[in-house]
Amino acid sequence: MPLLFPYQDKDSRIHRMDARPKIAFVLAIFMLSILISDIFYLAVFLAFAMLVVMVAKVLRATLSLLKYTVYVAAFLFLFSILFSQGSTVIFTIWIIQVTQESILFATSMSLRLFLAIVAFSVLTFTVHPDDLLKILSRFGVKSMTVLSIATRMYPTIAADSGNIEDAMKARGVEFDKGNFIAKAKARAPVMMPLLLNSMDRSMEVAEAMEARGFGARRRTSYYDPVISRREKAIMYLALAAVPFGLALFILGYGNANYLGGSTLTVSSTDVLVVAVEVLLFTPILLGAKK
Amino acid sequence: MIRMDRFTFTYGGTGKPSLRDVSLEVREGEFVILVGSSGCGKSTLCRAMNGLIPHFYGGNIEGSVSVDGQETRHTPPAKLAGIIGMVFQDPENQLVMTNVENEMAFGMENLALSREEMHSRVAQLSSYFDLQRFFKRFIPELSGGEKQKLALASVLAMRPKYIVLDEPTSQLDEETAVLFLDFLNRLNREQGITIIIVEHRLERCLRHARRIVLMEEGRIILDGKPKELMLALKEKGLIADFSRKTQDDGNSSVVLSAQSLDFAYGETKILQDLSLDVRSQEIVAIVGANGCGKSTLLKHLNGLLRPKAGKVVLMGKDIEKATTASLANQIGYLGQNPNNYLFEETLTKELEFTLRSLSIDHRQWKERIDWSLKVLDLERYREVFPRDLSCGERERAALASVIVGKPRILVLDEPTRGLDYRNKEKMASILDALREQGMTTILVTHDYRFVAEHATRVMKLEEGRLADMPLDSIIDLAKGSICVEA
Repeated sequence: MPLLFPYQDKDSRIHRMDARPKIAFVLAIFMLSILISDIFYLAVFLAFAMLVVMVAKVLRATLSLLKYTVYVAAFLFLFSILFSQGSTVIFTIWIIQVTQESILFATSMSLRLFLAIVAFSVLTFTVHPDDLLKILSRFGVKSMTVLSIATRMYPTIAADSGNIEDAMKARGVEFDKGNFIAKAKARAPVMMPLLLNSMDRSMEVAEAMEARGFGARRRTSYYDPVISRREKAIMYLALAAVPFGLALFILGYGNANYLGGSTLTVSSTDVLVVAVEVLLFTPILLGAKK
Repeated sequence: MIRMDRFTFTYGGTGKPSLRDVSLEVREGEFVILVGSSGCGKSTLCRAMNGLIPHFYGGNIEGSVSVDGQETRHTPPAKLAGIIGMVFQDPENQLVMTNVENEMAFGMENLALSREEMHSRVAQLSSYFDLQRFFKRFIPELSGGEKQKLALASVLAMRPKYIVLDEPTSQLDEETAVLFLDFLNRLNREQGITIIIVEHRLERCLRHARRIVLMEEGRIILDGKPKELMLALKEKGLIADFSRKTQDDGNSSVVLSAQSLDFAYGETKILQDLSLDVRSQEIVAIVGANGCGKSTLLKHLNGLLRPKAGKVVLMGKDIEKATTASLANQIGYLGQNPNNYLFEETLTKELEFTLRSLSIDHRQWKERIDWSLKVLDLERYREVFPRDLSCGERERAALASVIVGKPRILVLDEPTRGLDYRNKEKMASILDALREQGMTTILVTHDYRFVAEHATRVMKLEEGRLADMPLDSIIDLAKGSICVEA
């Protein structure tokens, strides 16, 4: 089977939960990862997010996603060191000075990145695209239509592109010879039939939707949009972590300027603040009952 | 009642009307088969019945169409959707959701039904259609037959009085198509739903029909009971007797040989110890149920897929090390969708694309292009955008882009899929002509009649292996689908 959705169909507490608390969690983590720069805070959040991923039984998929992030992190380190700032030199290679400031800065940035990716994987691996659509469709019927077709058609288009490649190979186009650029160049003609096929397809889909009464009147919904109290609580607590984090950030907690000379210090207040923030997220681990 | 009164329709941008002066009445409870060759206006007629014409396709209309007294001219298709449903040709492009349950609900949501009503209808239909086991399945993973059944169930969920089906079986294999048609018949008899169906292979749905409407060039030329029309239909070539055209001399050299192939997708074994020898100038047809691995087998022959064990020998050479592209001038491959081959501005450029990829000497280009267009009877379309061609012509245009490389072996995956009788005949005579010129063909098809008339050898793929199938039994199978209920 060709690549379908990234969504992992598992039976876990997290999967059984309504999509909304999960989206709230992911949004909150995203915002905090942008806001907060302190390595200690980020490390704790990352550890917690990994725990969520584990409970959701999608650790393996997440790790394979993180594999690519490692390269990006390596780049981050390389660049921070090459264009190093700061005066606390740890050691020197040839003329390049490796400073404490640049190392701490790169670590903080990488942690942010990892955190964002892990949060993102909670969204992609545990929220079914149909559910995501139902949430998004509240923002308007048209956008829902477009998104729904895009998700539904993704596997079809992926299969299409494979078949077009086969057709091209059978007409003598070499895809796998030469260097990276030659390979990329050989693939360019695939785009044209793919685009034309997709255009034909979209017309047919539009026609079929019209014939099934789409857009004639205000629609009803097949699913009961009821969300349990417990899920509501999980959602609001996760969302509450954002203003809480922001308020304390303004007071200086979680805000570290490593290039400006901040060092890796953890005060007891820091521990308390992190503990409260993580506590706000913790209910998600309980998820939904069977 | 659906009533068309002297209806004439011309698509915007074309000068010629697609429907001319059509008058037709379909009463509740009828089962009507609409036949005619490609481009005769069948699909246009279907779309005129539910208001897609003129609301979705702009154009010029004269006369009127009404469904239960509602004029389609003033009622958009979305408003008619509760009375008249439509099932389209390609199951892929009419399903919009990702799982079966949501798909069935989609139309009902559009009708703004209450949640209780929707749940009860979904439960009812899924047991009637035996769809429960697919409930949470991801739609793209369903087979073509399952998808088409779901498309029908989704339309039925809206409880229309009339269902119009535009070639719903053209993408299905023979067995699945017959089951689908039987099912339609049951719906018609048990629930009294009016069925209007366009069907190429008249043979297989003849026994369900109580009324046949034959179209030609946008007009209805015949309309009556099957028994009354038999003679006329035979004359038109829509129901034909068999004639064997190809004979095998059977002592030429082996050009392609597959030896003990094994192949699996993950855990699922597709090919098991499969062997096949193809001799020069044979037309070998491979038949078998959907999903049995026919396409997979074809893709092994030119290296698009590589076996887990065993080897493929082409003209005496093992192809293990060769890329598909480097084999393209010896073995041509035409996949299922001709559109995947067509993207250049003109047909000539399309053929040049192949010649360029194969690094053919420029001096040979003209001669090769002339030759392939002549063989495929496409000379008049040299400067036409290939995607504007009709379905049958596109299939030939795609084939032209393959044979222009003058391969000695042709591998075709369902070359007659979706083609009407005339286009099929044309394709067959082309394969015969290519054979005369020394070409060897290996094809996969569901079309027993095509096989019975043109293949020199038939093999059946079952449980990963090929077995010879006597031609006589194929002819019986093909004839078996022609029987008219008195």
